[in-house]
Amino acid sequence: MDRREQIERIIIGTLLSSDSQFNYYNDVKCSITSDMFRDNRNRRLFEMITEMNQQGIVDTNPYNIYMKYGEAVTDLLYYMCENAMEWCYFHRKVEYNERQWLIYQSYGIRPKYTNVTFEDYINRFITLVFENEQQQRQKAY
Amino acid sequence: MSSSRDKKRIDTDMQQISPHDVDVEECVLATIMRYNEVYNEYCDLLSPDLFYYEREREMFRVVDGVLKAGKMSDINTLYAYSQSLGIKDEILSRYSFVEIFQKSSRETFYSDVMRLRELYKRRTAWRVLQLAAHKLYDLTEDVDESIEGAVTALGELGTSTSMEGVYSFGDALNELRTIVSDNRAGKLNFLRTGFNLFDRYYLLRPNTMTVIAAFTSVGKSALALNIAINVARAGIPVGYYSLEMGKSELAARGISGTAGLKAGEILNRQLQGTEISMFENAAKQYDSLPIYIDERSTVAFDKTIRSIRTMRKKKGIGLAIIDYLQIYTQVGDSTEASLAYMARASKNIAKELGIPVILLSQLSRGAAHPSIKMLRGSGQIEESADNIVLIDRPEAYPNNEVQKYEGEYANAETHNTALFILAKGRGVGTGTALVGFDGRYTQFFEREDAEYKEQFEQQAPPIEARPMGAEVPF
Repeated sequence: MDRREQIERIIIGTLLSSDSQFNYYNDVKCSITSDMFRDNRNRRLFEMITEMNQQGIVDTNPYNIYMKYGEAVTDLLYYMCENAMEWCYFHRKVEYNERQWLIYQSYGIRPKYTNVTFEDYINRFITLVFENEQQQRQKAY
Repeated sequence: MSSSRDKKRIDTDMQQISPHDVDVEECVLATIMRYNEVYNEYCDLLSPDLFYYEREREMFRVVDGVLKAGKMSDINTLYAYSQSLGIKDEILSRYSFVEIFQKSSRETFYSDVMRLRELYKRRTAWRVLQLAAHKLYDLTEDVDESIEGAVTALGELGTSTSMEGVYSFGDALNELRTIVSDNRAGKLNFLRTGFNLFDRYYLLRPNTMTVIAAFTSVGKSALALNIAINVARAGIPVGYYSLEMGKSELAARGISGTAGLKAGEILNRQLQGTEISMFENAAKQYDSLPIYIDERSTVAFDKTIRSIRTMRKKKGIGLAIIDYLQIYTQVGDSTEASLAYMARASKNIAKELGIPVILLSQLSRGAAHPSIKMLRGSGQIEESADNIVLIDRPEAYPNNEVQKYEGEYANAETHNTALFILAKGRGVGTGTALVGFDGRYTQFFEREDAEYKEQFEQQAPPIEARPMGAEVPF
């Protein structure tokens, strides 16, 4: 799994764990479109999340998606739950911080937290997409 | 923003560049795109003129159009809308939305908008003064006229930044024509409250601010809540702003009459078998009433005003009730100025949104009966209000020596009744009405007894009775 796929999963995972209090869809709605995703599953999920938000449903967790789309998403159930739990941005951040703590402590250095935000992931994702497009255009020439 | 783009723009623009700040403009745009609710709160402060360059101006028009249509501003909607407006791809592309989107900042939004307004004023003032300077150099122009023109233009700039909201008398007459034709077609132009005094004098018309004033614990909130429920029953959403009571307390007071239980009992006592079913039956009836309670808008009056604007856009409220004026934090140095500001702001929001606003206010004590002079704090409340309704309920003050009403109801029973006094009514006159009051459930109601019927039947023309079997003369 390369970095772009990882970030794709993190973005989708974060969107799947958003609710009325932390509506992460606001952060991506003007910068990401579904055709930017390479993985077909992510693309489908992003379209569903967009549709739900347009209808005013902000709790876009796997349960609500399944209740809304029913059998159409049965094949995505495991993937959705895995993403929402393991690939959520907040979960990744905590995991990363814990790992850093262990390393720092083994060296006897005072541990510190990283302050990576969800926006940083989005920025990175957009840069990767644009770079990729540029490369493809150059190849076409 | 990149400096190369700025340089290009300077070349194409005038030689002298006016004060502007592209970063702040983009920040404002991005914040609106990202947090749509912010736009609803501050839309009265924004206009396309505030933006300096064409691209930002067009982008604002697009976002403004999408949000006014009630859609969500995601990239596909924005791009499709910009295409439908016929804006060229060179000015707005998907990438320009993405590029700007990353700069949003909700925390500094208000100060950013204020900065844009300041810069706009500077630019316009500069233009006006330049024009005046050119005219003064021209010896064929009349000097007094030139100076007067410049002064008028600058004066207009000081009061407002756009000409939106300025109408000719013809426009006003057109609006009046639609109102008259609506009335003929039987459409109501005022809200029915279920209280004869309010309905007979058409108190809750659009654009009006009604003050309900009384001494403490007479039943201001109770009346406001009764009105809210009656209006909501007709299917018109109501926004209720209460700093005193929480939402559960309000709900308890609202349903207590129907449930036959005291509000305090519902909230605090352990309900027994039949009482629970009574409560559930009442709760079912009120379940779908469109009354919205915003608990966030506490302390600051401006927040309440902004919340009314948001609620109007999101929930389409047709009536806003503010409970009550004196409880809000003081704005400015003196209490009088603060109350005057709040009253003025309430009237302005009623005019801006075209809905009636009810403002509750306390009266200062010192007399047995309420009068308009006792409106606590400021005379400005009296001036700003379109209608002022005072509630008199001598029963609430057992210490009063004389348990009587004043004026024409001097002989009326004071137990379980209250007197509504319309002390000021802009364009409708003044009047009084005696209503019933149920102390157990804190509810006002229209009395159905003989005295009440006599009071209102006097106004209707008497119907001539014809003896049975009498022939009709040809």
